[in-house]
Amino acid sequence: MVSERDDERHADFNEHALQGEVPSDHQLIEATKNGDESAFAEIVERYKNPLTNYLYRFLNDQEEAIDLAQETFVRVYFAVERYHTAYAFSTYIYRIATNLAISEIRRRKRRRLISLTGLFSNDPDDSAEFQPPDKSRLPDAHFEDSETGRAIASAIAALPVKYRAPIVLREIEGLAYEEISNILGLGLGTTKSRINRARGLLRGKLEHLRGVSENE
Amino acid sequence: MNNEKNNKADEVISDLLSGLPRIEAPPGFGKQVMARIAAGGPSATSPFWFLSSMKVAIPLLLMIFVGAYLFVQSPDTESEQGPLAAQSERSAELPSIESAAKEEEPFPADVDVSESRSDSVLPVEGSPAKESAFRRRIETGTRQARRAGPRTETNVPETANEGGSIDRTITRPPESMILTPDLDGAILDPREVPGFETVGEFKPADILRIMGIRAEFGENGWRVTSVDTLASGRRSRVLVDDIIEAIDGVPIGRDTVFKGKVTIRTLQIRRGDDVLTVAPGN
Repeated sequence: MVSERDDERHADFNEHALQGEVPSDHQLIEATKNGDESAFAEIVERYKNPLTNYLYRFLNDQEEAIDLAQETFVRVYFAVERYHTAYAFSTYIYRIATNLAISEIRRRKRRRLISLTGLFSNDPDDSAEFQPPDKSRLPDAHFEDSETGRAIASAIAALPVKYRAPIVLREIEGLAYEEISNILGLGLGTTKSRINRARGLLRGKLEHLRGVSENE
Repeated sequence: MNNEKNNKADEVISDLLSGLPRIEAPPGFGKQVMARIAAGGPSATSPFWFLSSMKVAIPLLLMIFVGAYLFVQSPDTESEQGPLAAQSERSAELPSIESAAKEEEPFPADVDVSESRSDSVLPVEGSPAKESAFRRRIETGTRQARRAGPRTETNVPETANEGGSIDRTITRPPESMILTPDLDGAILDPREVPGFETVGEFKPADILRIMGIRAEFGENGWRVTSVDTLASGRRSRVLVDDIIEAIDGVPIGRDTVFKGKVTIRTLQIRRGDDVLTVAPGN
C-alpha cells in the first residue's frame, strides 16, 4: 500500500531525474523502498563497476567477483528496509561485499590443498590462503599479461585478508581512511596501521620491480 | 634515510596499485541482478555450513565434557554430595586394608572367642606382621569412625543407659552413626548391608541372642559375655567384653525395646577407646 508520502518521494525522484539532477544514493534507496525498481537499477548501474573491480582485486577471480557483486546487490535489495542513513550508502554496500568476499575466502580455505609455502611460514601474518589461479582473460589483457601486472595481482592475492581489504579499498578504490574504517568496522588508527603494514608486505613481495627496491 | 626510502617505495606501490586496470561488470549485469531478485532472494547458504558449525560445536562439547568431569572430580563437591559420597571417596583413599585382610588368616571358626580373648584386643597371635596388620585395620577403622561422626551429645540421648522404648517403625538412626566402617575398614551403608528382619517386640538382649551374642547390662552398657561359634555375631567379629552401644544406629539402654518391624544391619560397639561398627548380617 503506497501512502501519499511515498507518492511524493517517488515523484520527487522522478522530478530529479527529469531535471537532469543526479539523485543521491539515499534518494534512490528511498525510492526503492517505495517499490521503484528503476531507482534500484540506477543503484546497480552506479556501483556495479566499482564493486566488481573491488571484488576482483580482493578475490583474484573474475567470475567469482561478478557473482559476488550480483549477490551483493540482491542482498541490498532484500535488506533495503533495514538500511538506515547513518552511514553513506557506499560504506553499506562495500561492507556487504567485503563480508561476502571474506566468506568466499573461508569457503576456499576449506577446500584448499595443503600449501607447502604456508607450512614453512613462521609469521602468521605473512601466511597466504591458497588462491586458485584465475584463467579468465581480463579486458586489458595486454597489461595483465605483463610481468608487472601479474606480479602485483599475485602479491595482492597473497596478502592476508585483514591487510588485503584495506589496501585494495585505499589504493585501488581510492576510498578515504575514515570510510574504510567504517566499512571494515575498525578504528581509524588500526585501519591506517593495516594499510601501512600491507604496503610493507607488498614492498617485500615486489622489491624485484624497478622503483620498489630500497636499494635503488 | 630509511624512512625516506620506504616512503618512496610506498609511493611506487601506490602508483602501481592505482595503475592497475579497472575491471568492469559484464554487459547484462543489471538484468542478471534483477533476475536473481525475481528468483526470490539471496543464494542459499553454503553447503559447508554443517562442517563449519561442527568446527565450533565439537570443541565446545569437548570443553563442556571436560568441565563437567573436572567439576564432578573437584573436592569442593564433597559437601554438596553429602556424607555418603564423601565416605565413599575416603574409603577409596584408604591404604590396602583388603590386602592386609587377605594376608591374615581367616578367623578360626572352631576357637571360642570367650576363651581365646585375653587382655589384648588382638585375636591374632604369633605373627608380628599379622598383628600389625590387624592393628592397622583397627586404627584405620577408628579414624574412619571419628571422621564419620563419633558419638556426640547430640546423637546419643541422655537416657540411653537408662533404657526406654523405641518404635523401630518410626525412629531412624542418624546417618552419621551408621556410616562407620566395620572391622575390615569397609564403609557400612545400611541400604546395602543385608540384615535380620523380624516383627515383634524385642529387648536388646533378645536381638543379640538371635545373632549368637550373649550380653549383660552393666555400668558401661551391654557387655558381651560370649559369642556363639558359627553365629553371625562371631562372623562379624564381635568379641567378649565389647560394649554394644547401638543396634542399627539406635543407642540401647537397659530397657530399650524395639517394636514392630525390626531390621538389624549394624551393631555399634565400643572396644576400649575405639568405636566400631560391624555388620552381623549374612
